[in-house]
Amino acid sequence: MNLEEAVWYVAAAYAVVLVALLLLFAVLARRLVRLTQRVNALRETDQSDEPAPGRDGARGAVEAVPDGDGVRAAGEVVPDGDGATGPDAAAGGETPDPGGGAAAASAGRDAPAGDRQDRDHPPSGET
Amino acid sequence: MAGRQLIALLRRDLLLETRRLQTVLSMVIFAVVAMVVVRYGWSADLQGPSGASFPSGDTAPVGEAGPTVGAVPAAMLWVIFVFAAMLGLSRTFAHEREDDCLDGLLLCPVDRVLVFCAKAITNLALLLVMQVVAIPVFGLFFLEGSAVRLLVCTPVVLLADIGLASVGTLVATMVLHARSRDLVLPVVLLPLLVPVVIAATSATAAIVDRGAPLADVLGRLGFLAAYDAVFLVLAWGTYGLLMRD
Amino acid sequence: MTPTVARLAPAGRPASLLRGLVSAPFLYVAAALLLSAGVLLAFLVAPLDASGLGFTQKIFYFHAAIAETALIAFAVALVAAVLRLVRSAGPPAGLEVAAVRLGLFFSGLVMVTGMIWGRAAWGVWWAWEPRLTTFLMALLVYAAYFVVRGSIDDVQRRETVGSVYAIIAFVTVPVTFFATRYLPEGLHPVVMTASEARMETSMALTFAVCTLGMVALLAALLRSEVALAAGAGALDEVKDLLEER
Repeated sequence: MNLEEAVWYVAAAYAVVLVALLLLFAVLARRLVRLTQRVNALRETDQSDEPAPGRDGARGAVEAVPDGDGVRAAGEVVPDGDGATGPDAAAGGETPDPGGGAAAASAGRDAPAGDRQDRDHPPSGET
Repeated sequence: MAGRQLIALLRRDLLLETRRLQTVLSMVIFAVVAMVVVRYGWSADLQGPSGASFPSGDTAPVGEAGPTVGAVPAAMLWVIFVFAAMLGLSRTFAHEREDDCLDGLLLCPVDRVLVFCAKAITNLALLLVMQVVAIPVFGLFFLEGSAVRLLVCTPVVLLADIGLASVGTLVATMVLHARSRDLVLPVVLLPLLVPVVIAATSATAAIVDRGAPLADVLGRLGFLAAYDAVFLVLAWGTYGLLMRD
Repeated sequence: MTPTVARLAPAGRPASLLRGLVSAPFLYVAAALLLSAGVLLAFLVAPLDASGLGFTQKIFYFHAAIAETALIAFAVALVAAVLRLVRSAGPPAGLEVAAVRLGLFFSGLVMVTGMIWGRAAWGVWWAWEPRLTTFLMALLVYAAYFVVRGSIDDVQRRETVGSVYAIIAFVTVPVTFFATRYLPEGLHPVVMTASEARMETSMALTFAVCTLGMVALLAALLRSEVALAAGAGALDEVKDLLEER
């Protein structure tokens, strides 16, 4: 094999690697974009569902669900570290927990602090 | 204790298989029909204008470069065995599912590994019954003169069958609750069985063609034994997790 | 940000997404630097291969580095699977899937670069020699991982079966790794042995830089994949909750 041919093969091999990596990045970027789009879409539908803007709307969202079930729903999204979501959360739904309700309501008012407070509450199904 | 449990489970599985011989019959029929199809496709291909048809036992000494010997019939044999095995393996849990016995089986206070052993031994038995019929047919169709050499293949067949049955039972358990499991089982099982097919084929070819050169065959047998051991250990370690609920 | 979403999707999951992306850039930069250095070293510093491969040997630096990375990715999947099965709260579920997916990606690249090199060095696109065969086998076995996972609806069961399958599939990796060492009929050279590196120092250095770069790239990609999976999972949960209300 002469050098010129060899150069072509080597160039082809390196080009394949480069193209494949670019494709992989494109796929990753697309997945990121789609995730962002889904988050935004969710945000918009959520906004339109809101009965009234501001605090009252937030409170309404909680109070629409009776007996602090909404609280536990809020607790469910918080990653609780042990990966146990389904059964625990379902069990939690059966025991009302008014204390958690207050926490979630405050979470609605000042989001960042409330979030942290929310996370500090363990999923009430385990208590 | 464990031995008696195993025997009880095994009796149950074998009884279910022998009561209706559906599975083993379909395996045997498949294997024989597949060989007939291959044999006819083959001879049609080989009977060219030169008249070089396949050698019959008395005219051409088998073992020379005749078209009917060599790795190809051995490969065909093992490919047919694998697909026949697939028929049986896909039925591994058929009774449990169809008659809702699975819950009862899971409620039994027995080690899950014993369930695996019973299922694997049942599958092994099905394979062996199928081969007792199919291997003589293979010798008759493809080997003629040197068919006796197939007896030497017994250890190869046994070790390969243990591999087929254990891996097959493990994968059948994995896809127990899968959608369209009859489609998924071969797709998952075949790549895992490639090493068995390669080793068994080359060992069988070595025995049939070259009168079993010991070094070749022993190496393949060692590989098959190692493969069986690895997958039996893996099954032992993971079966409890697969059948947890 | 509207209050309800802020409450339903608190800082937890998006923050972990961010964390993954924040730490991944460092790995991406490291990988980019190492891989660029690897290319420069391969073409400017490393000497032309004297053993007859000539210029085509330049493919080796990336080809072998990608091969090692693919096997490392499968090993990551194995470790993640074992940890998840042994302790119910192991690494996130996304890690195992991402590792298998990236392992498959890198395996595919190995196949393509290897075929190009094979055409250049041996004159054929494909040779049935041990390393190629075993690598192809590993590729098929791991491809079936997604068939298995995709066929099982129940999430819990899917994770368990997927992890068990990732463990079983790993059997192919040592076979692939040692295929060049113990099977004599191969065409692949054994480059590294325990006692000596059969390469010149600059070649070994180039190879090491390329391998490190690829491994850093794998780590960065794993982080991104896990973060994306976590983000998507959190989003699905929020959506389910919103639909329930």
